[in-house]
Amino acid sequence: MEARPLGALDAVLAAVARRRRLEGALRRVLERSGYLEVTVPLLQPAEGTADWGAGYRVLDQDGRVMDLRPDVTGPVARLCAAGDPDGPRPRRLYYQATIFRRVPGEGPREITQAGAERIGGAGDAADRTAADAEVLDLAAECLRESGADRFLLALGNAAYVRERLQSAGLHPEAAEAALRARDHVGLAAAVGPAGAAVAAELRWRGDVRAALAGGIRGEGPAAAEWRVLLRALSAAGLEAVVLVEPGLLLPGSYYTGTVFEILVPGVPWPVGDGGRYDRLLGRWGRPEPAVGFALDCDRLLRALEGEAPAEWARRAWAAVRAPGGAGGGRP
Amino acid sequence: MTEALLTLALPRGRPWTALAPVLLRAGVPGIAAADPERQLVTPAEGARLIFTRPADVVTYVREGVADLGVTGKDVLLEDGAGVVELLDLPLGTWRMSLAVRTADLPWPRLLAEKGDALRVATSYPATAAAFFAARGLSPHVIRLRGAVELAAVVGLADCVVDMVETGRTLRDHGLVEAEVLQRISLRLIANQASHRWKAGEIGELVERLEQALHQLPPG
Repeated sequence: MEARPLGALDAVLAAVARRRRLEGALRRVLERSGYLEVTVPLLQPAEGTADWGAGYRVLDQDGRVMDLRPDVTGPVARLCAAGDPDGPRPRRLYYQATIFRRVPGEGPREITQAGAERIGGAGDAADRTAADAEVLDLAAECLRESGADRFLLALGNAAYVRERLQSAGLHPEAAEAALRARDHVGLAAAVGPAGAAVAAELRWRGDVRAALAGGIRGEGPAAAEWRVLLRALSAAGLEAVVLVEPGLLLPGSYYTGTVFEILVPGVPWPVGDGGRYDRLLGRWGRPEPAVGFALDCDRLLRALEGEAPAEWARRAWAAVRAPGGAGGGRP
Repeated sequence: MTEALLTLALPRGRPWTALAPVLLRAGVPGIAAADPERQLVTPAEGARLIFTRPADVVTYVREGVADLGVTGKDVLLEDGAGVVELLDLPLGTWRMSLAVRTADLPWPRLLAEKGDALRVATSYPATAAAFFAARGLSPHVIRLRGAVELAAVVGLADCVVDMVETGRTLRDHGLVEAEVLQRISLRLIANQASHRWKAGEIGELVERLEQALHQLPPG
């Protein structure tokens, strides 16, 4: 008998029911917020997929190299730029899809994602702030509707990181690479003694009030815009769930502004992330502002149930096999 | 990920000898009573200490069983993705080095002669491969679990890439250190989620460790 593929999960009975319930909850929030569902092909041209490490790469019959999609944001951006250039803007789209990625320490993983993308719009500072706040609020609403009562949005800004590094006369590339790797020691080495103050600024973390009271430094445009966003988030009642992290950068280099990670108690990794990617659509010849997020449904379910997915599967099978169990059949 | 206290995964063996005085000075609970060789888990007031092999510390932290950990940069170079690297603990004089047989050709000539046919024995295959890749080479990297000197002594490999402290082990086996790839120190690492949920406690501990390091006698 074949073993279960590495990094993939089986789900039966109760586990399937929980997954469907989560999908239903997310769908409700996304649709009542005006987001339309999209599906995109499972196979993507390898050169077209985003900067995530693809977990699996295959050849088609004509010898073209294809990836099993490592994210959905890339294909959705292509869809809007190439397939829907004259459609209404902003486009509000959502998806629930399986993706395949290499995960540090785990290897290839099959991940069920639910995500939303808000594409297009005026693209000025006011529009960016409103769109970022909308998407963060939407992510929070998705979590609440899923049943996650406690969560944290760790919030950074890629443009702010670059602004602070450049204001100190530093070349940003090495420092940004260290931040993407979450390597504070590497950050100190990259900026040297001259950049020690900036490194300390970027390592600082605090709540919205502390960020507005001096945690966010300087009078540059990225700092100013970020402060406006924080005030908007406070006005939307999100102040208590936002942790401001000026040094947060995500793997994948397409983010240009706001970035965030979503944390839920009981899960040792983020259960989702997102951000602004104003240059991604330009790859298909039509630059447009865009912002979105994705939730890792497997991790979110783990948080909601407080146990590992493999454990639900074990219990569900036990229920099938037990006398009088729901199914009574063989797997 | 219990929120009341911090769980630290700490390395057994030689790193512990260097590390314990610093943790003690930083006021980490439970250090004085800890006995890593006999007790794998030490409960203490406000903290829990887990002792394991340095190479496994990163796994305990990444999976969230421990909030924080201390392990060598050598381990992180091989398998460090997915954790937050918070602080350098520059204790000891470890380095990642390449060594060859004393009786062999000088290293630059050996390298020039063998090129990609070079056989490299190491417990750090990713680190060794990256070192050669930076020079446009992809030699045959042979992964061993330890005691890699043996591979050079008996001719399994032309050279070894390994951690070196004093260099005595190399000399005892007729090997000579030809290149230092990188100085290696201990690092404080954190789980991604703990780093957020316990931001206050972790920030405070990092500060105390920084102070303890500053108070160390020079050398």
